[in-house]
Amino acid sequence: MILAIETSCDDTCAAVLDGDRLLASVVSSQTLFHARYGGVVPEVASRHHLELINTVMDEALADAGVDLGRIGRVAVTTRPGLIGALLVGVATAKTVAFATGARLVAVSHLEGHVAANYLPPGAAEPPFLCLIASGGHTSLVYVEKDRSFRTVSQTLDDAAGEALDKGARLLGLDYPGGAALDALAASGDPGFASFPVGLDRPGNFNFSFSGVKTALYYYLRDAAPALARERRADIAASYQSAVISALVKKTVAAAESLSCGLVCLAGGVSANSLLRRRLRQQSEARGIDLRIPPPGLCTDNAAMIASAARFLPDLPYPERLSLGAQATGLPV
Amino acid sequence: MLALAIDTATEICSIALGNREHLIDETSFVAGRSHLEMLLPALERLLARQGLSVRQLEQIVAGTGPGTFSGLRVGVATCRALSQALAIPIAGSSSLAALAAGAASCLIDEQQNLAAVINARRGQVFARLYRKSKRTVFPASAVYCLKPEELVEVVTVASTGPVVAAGDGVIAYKKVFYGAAGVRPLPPEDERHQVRSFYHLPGEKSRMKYSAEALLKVLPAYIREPDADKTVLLRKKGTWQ
Ligand SMILES: [Zn+2]
Repeated sequence: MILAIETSCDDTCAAVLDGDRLLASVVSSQTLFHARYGGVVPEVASRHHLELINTVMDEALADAGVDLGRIGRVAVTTRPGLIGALLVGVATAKTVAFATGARLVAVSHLEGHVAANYLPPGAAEPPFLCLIASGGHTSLVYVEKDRSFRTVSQTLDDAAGEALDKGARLLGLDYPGGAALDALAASGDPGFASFPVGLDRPGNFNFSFSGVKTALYYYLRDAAPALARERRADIAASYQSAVISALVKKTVAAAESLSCGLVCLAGGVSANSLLRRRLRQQSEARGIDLRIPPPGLCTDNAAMIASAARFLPDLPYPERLSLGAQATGLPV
Repeated sequence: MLALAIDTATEICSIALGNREHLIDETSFVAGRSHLEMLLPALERLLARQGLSVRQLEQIVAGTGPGTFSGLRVGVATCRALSQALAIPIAGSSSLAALAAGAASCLIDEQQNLAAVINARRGQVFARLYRKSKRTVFPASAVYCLKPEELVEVVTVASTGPVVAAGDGVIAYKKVFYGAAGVRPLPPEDERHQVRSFYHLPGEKSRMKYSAEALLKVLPAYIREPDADKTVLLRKKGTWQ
């Protein structure tokens, strides 16, 4: 049985996994605390993790109906993320393993997002092509039979989630605006305005989202204020549609060029309703098998970390006691 | 009663095993900024050289600073996880008080003030005045977070005689403390500048009980508010992590 801990950004998460059976997944979100700063303040996130981690762990164990004595392996996100946030999770995980005699597994957050697909009900078996899209990351990776990754393409500038959030901000929605944009766009006409997305050449699977964001900025600057106000839902729908179309088009094209019949989604943007719908339509039309984890497994959680740990080796002794965290860049 | 105390408020990390009446063993090492990597291996070595298992621990004390935020979080997270995993009681203990208790032997009488001074970085120190009591020390001021020059002014105004000063904050700002009138810092090489976690250990007869609620109250004394200026804002997180 695996106890997993994830604290790479501002969600404090713990989960218990038995085989491929998810017994508990607890996510304590700090979004409310950070909203007033308009972003995540690393020091604030680190403080909250330390306050919450033991309770979140207790909750997960209680939900699962097991005590720590039955945990054979402890898994923890060690990279990438905010260093101060990661180290709360790593210190806690390795100490629990040290105290109970459990084994310890280090997981990358990105591996975790992809591994959300190994859990039922989707339970995808590699090889497959995976679109990883979040606030800090956008790439297409080919997951080999042995579950190793090969990067097919990636964003050259902004991440898809970042583009959606920045668009939401330009449209005057409160932080974090991506979900509000998704909701607003639902009642709008996606054909109302056209926002060109970069790298729109067939055969180029890389992404670029800085241009589309700039296009929205100029559109709103030059539009009559009354129009921008009245047609806000239409503008939101058009903008979101532009970003999502680029993701869908390149994913489907890459799958076809690699003759890959199975496509999976990972990362927080997989929770976007338009992406789920469009990708489903496009892949059905082309006979591609598509798996999307339930929304709760797409955004940050520890179940995905436990899932990744199933296929990763235990850290050797005594090196596992000196396990550190690697901040390499922004949270994904 | 077998207790474990850990202090990670400064760059020198300190671990002690036993209780205040009977110290079994202790260790200290320069962790710099590598508390996360170095703490658990050091704890394992300390237990192993006494032939003890982590499961024999009966109580945990975490030094709660103030001090470097990351160091403190590693120490406190480790202590909380030990308490939770072993279901043994935990308490927090001020690192300034432990520093003062260690340096109290140089106080001449119960009137003299001792300034415990921990480096707060960014040109500041955390500090508190203490006075000698029959058995140990008691606080004689609030906890300050000040520039060293400001601290010297505050403590000398608050004191009638010379103030003894100890701690890594004194070493970090030698020029200010060793030249100041009214302040008598311990010599730079004096070991009592270090926070010794022995002074966090509970008495032999301490009888606490484990409770999940009590554990949650053990947190670092940050003193300083989080820095929320634009340079540390991380806007990329947003909705879609
Ligand atoms: Zn993520």
